[in-house]
Amino acid sequence: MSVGFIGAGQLAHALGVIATHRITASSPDTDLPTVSGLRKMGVNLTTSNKETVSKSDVLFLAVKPHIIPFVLDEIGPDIEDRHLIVSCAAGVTISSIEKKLLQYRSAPKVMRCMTNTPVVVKEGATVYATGTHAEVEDGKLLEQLMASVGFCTEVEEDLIDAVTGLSGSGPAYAFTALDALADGGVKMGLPRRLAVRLGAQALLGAAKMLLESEQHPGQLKDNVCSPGGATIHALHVLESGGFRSLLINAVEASCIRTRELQFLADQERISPAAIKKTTLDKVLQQPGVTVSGKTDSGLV
Amino acid sequence: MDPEMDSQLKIGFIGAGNMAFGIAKGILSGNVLPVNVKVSAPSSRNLGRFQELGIAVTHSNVEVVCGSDVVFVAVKPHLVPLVLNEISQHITDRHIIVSVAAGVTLATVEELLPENTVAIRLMPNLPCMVQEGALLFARGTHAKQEDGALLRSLLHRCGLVEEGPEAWIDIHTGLSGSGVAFVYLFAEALAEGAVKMGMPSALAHSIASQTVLGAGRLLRDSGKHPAQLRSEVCTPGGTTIYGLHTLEQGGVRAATMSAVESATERARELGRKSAAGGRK
Repeated sequence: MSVGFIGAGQLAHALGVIATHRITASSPDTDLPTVSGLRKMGVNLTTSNKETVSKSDVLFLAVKPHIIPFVLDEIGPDIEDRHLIVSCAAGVTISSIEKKLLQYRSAPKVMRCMTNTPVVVKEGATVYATGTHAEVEDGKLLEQLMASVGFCTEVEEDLIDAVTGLSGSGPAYAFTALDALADGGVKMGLPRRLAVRLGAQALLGAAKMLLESEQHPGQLKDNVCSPGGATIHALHVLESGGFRSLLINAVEASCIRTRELQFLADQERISPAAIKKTTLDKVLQQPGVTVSGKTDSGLV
Repeated sequence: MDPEMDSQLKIGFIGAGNMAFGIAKGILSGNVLPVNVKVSAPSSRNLGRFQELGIAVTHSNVEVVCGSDVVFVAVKPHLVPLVLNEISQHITDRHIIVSVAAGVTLATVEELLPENTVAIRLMPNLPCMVQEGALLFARGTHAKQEDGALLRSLLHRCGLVEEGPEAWIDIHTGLSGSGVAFVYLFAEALAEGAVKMGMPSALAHSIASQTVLGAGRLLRDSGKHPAQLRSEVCTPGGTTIYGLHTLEQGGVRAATMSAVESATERARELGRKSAAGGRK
């Protein structure tokens, strides 16, 4: 069973670690920094999306959301019954993808997933939703693939925006926190490298404890706070700064923005301003590729 | 503790205020007979409700001490030195003196009473009056474990009874003595929120108080961590999580921690002042 990636950017690079299967990735832009990384992993790189489609059974759409409709128009005619299309694009609904592909096939198998960058260290958090024509086995297959790089579970599609806000963006919140924690350590006298190392290990360890414990995080927090001690003093400072509400606000903001992006993506229009002319040229040079006949696609 | 012994025990109260009354009620719902309880106060104003319980009343503090084994000194803090001076010569080694006065240290009490007096410091809180108090006691220099156990068995019907070092009494004051007022503040605010949303005030207040009571009982009886109980109430995307987010944005947690801190610091300060004043 072979895996293909349309798009050879961060996501393909991150997911390329599912390297137990034959992988093909395509991108018109061979200058991407991720491309050399993919090559080193032994991924077969091509500039032809069609080639990727023909060589794959599971096809990940790992391009930016606004490119999706364009890609779908391009590969639509080449999709076969065996193909499982997995879109990783934030805010792009299953129904919008199915609608496009129904022009070419009567029962396109589509799934949607939201993952996050720690898949590169096999500690990803992935959720997926299953489309109309995809079977339970297709879900299980995807789950198996993604479970090899972290946690993976099925969700209802309408929760994916919330997942994006929490675990999609989550690593960025953590990196920000770690940077600041390290600053705190440095302020109190630690060398930077050590401060970063200790901060990261502290969060890693805490997360692991929580995942392996039956206890509520509030209880685990209490277990660290000896009466009148250092930690409870620090926690009070955090509470006074509105730490908790900031985090709630962040997850909410990310989720809301994802919904806005979904709304934009659903428009199905790409303005010429959204695609580099050089990229468009390269794609149009591929044999058998034509721009969809629909004049409202916005492409010249 | 031995129920037979309890029923022989003679309990006295110097001071007839709310704390004394609450404790007396709790004691009577155990094995102690009203005939074995006596209360003294300078005026008759507060003695009526004790009499209704079958308790003997007097205006003589000395009479209470001479006729009791366990004496609760439940007068206002500034009156404690006066009262202790008055009764000191009548204290024998059978007595247990329990001071209920806020801010009066064991050192102060022991200084004013004969050497070797068994003294215990007790900090109750207002809901003792309805047998739902939170009481913390600290044993003095000569109070043995059995004396603590005796007090605990007398008080267990008053509410939650715990023992601790004297240093915890000020914290208990901040947490649970003053804490009761913090809860009242919260209940009032809950009701006002409801009134703002259109509910009549009387109904809002009645529901608010029942909400606090019910939540409190669930918390105490479930044995679960409050964070756990909170999570259990929050359905995804529901009303509660929205409301909680607003509370978090208002910094309620930090403010509450600070409130307990302020009250505790003040209790400590008052304790220091009274110790300084009590020294001869």
